[in-house]
Amino acid sequence: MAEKNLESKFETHLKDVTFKVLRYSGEGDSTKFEEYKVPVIGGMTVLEGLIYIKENLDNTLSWRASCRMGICGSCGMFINNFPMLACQTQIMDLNSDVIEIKPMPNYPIIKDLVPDLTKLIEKHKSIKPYILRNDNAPEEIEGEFYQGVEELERYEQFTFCIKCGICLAACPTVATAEEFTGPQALAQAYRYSVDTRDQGFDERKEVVDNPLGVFRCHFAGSCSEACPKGVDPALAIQLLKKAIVKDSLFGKKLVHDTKILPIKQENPKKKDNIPPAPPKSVE
Amino acid sequence: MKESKLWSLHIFSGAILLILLGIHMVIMHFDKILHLGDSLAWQSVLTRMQSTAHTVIYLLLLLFAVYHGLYGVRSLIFELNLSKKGRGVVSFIVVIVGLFALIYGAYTIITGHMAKLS
Repeated sequence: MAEKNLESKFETHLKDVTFKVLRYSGEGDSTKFEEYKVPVIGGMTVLEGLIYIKENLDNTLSWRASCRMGICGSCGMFINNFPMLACQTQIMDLNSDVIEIKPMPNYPIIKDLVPDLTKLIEKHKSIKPYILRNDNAPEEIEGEFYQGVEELERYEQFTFCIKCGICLAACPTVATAEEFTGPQALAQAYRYSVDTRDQGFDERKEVVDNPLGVFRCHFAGSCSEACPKGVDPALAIQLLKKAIVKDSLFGKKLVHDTKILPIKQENPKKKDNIPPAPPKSVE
Repeated sequence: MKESKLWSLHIFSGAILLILLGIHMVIMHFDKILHLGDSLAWQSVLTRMQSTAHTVIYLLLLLFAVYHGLYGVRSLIFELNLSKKGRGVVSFIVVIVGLFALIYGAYTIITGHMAKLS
């Protein structure tokens, strides 16, 4: 039955596209391209093509994917020599009968199309990507941080980062300097430092104010061009550079005098029409 | 010194060099157009060397050009993915070369300024 459904699904396919996939066993062997013919239907993504191969042609092919809707950032690949999310890239949009798929550059490869993202995560962690406070931990503060719309807009676009690592794959500086902090972490350093709830600029400055930090960026802008979420890390890097230079030369720190508003309803009255919460299923 | 200060100085020296090199270029290469006489004639060179304004301009030009150039060389060498120790050694060599160039260049300019020639 399932086979019949699959057949009928691909019966009216638009054309056959050759997937040229770079294979690597993960055991130190050399890499080699393998070709697969995939029947393409309207709206089919590269990830769906890979799933078709895995289900019907070669079940040894490996890649990483999860949400299939451009949210989890797992399926970054080098598709026709450009780093993209496989789940966001429609095959027909590539306007090609041959699609070359390689693992993302600038990362060690675990197997086939699976990159090792450890470096990305380490760099991300190094800039302390969370709200830092000098006074109390955020959870100890009683009240609400006031933040205006303009203050939110200063960093909002950088919160769209899904840590897919595509910006590092696109970055020519990362290609030549593995230890460069990279656009993802630098953009997040700016995102948190400019957040009015945060007071950790000095701590993050220690990490990025060095020859392998913000000043290593050559401003090629490839990160911004490749980002599948429309984030502009190159802009964040320049703004971070500006903030650091202002601090170093003029002592003008990115210090936020955040207003903490008291919680208005001390004993909020429960509305009558709200049903009681279900009992806990897990202790 | 923090990288942000070194980088800012590099940018600042670049901006100053635009002005100082502009003055140098005008004097040395636009002399015919601006009717300044022959810039390379012995008497012209001597006049410039003995002039306090020119001496100051050339000392500043030397200072900023040496810093700007050597910071650039250091950045280029850093592109070779050196270790932290390697970067330290390169920075040390760059400072030594810079100090030598500054002292030797300043000596030449000041000697020319002080010399009793006619």
